Amino acid sequence: MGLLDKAIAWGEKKSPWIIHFNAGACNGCDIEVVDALTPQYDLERLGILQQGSPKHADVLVCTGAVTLQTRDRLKQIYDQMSTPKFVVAVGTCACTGGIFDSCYCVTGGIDTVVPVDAYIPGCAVRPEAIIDAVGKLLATLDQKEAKGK
Amino acid sequence: MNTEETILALNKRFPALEATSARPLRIFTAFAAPEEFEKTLQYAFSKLDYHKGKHIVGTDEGENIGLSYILSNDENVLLVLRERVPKSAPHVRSMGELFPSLMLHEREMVDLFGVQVSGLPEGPNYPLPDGWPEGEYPLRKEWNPAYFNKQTMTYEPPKEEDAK
Repeated sequence: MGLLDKAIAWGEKKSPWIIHFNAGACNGCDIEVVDALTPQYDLERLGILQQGSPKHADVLVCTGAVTLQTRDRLKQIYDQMSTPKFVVAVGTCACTGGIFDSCYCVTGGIDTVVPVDAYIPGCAVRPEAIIDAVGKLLATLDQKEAKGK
Repeated sequence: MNTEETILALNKRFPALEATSARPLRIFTAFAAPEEFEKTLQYAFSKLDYHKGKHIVGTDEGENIGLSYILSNDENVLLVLRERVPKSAPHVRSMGELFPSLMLHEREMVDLFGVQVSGLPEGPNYPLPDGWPEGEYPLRKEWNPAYFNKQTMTYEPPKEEDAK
């Protein structure tokens, strides 16, 4: 692992920046994502900041069953993120399509469009579950860094 | 105008509607004749003060498509006015001039049931996605989502020979 890669891995681990994308969710999980970021749960104290541009983000936090209208947008946003990048599917709909699976206008989950690194089931997910998943994702980054050494 | 007053006024002006209330603040009517339906909406708007267009519910009834227009007034009474249009030539006139909020629901009827709404301004698909094939209406009962290819956005029912 080169010096630059090490620096990037260190930065990602210490302060992963996220971008939040609603791929056709009912807004329930989106509210919980915002809840996890804002002062009551305060994920920002762990260095996790929400960004407006995918070019600045390390983690794509996705909700919703992916409607046909958002499918191409989701792919475009994922493609704009620089590597290494991670995707977290938040909510039952994002994990499997949920009750909308097999509907005429949804693809049925985030992983039908982009590869997913962490799944957080729940309808709607609890902020504690989001924080737990973030912790596990950071642990995964630790392991990846260790393997890199 | 409260529930009872609305029912009295409606049944006096349009006896065929048989307006009834099974529970407080809810008024249901029978299906209006196609030539009368627009008049009932105009009457509810101008004489009964039902100024709020809340929703349009579409139902596939086999040969016909049922449309339930749900209106409301300042006293929170919900009035359901209904009409039927033949599925072979479903056509209604837009009520957007009286109830602008119903235009979104009219677009839903266009996309999901294939109802022709004259007077509705041109616009994008709603709520179906861009690129949806013309002539495919997913909430009609004969439309089977299993035959819809989401990758190519084409509807491919099996041919009769394949089915045999």
